[in-house]
Amino acid sequence: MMILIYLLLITAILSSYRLFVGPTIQNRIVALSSISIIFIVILAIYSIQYNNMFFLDVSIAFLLLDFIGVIAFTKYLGKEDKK
Amino acid sequence: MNIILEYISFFIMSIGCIVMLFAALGLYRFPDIYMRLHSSSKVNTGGAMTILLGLILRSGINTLSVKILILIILIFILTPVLSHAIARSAHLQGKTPIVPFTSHPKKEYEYDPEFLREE
Repeated sequence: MMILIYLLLITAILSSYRLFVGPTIQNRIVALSSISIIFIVILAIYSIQYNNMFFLDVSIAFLLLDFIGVIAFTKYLGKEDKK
Repeated sequence: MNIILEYISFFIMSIGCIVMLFAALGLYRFPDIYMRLHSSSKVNTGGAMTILLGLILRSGINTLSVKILILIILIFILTPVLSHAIARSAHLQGKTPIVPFTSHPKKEYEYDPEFLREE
């Protein structure tokens, strides 16, 4: 069970390379959304392992917050071309 | 019976973890934003849903498993919407994909002999 969490952390580190040195801003948004999904899965695994319901509420709220943030960023970025 | 179910759930969750690692590898290696979206968004959605299904098999029927089911449905709905919005914003800013013979409404596409150029 902990092996999966370590493997997911390696995945998050590998995709955070694109977050730091991505050429454009869309690459950074893709990497940030991918890291947030990995974080949600890690929270779900923790909540099953320790039999605690609190982490699942945190993960659902984090998913909705990530959705609102990315939608706001992309609406702001797509508006620039219509001048 | 319980131990067999636990082994099956661990197998399913390890499959999901390997799939998510391949998604991160594609995000690291591909040259274009559209290819990175194609690698990242669909594969991440499938891997996360697979890991959460394994967690449902492990925990049995609980209030925990109902909340994980809500999480699966939310991921299944929201993550393709995110990838579509990111691709739409990149398209509205006028970024052409690297792959030849694709149409763009604002620019005429010119065939590039250097296929793998950086942005």
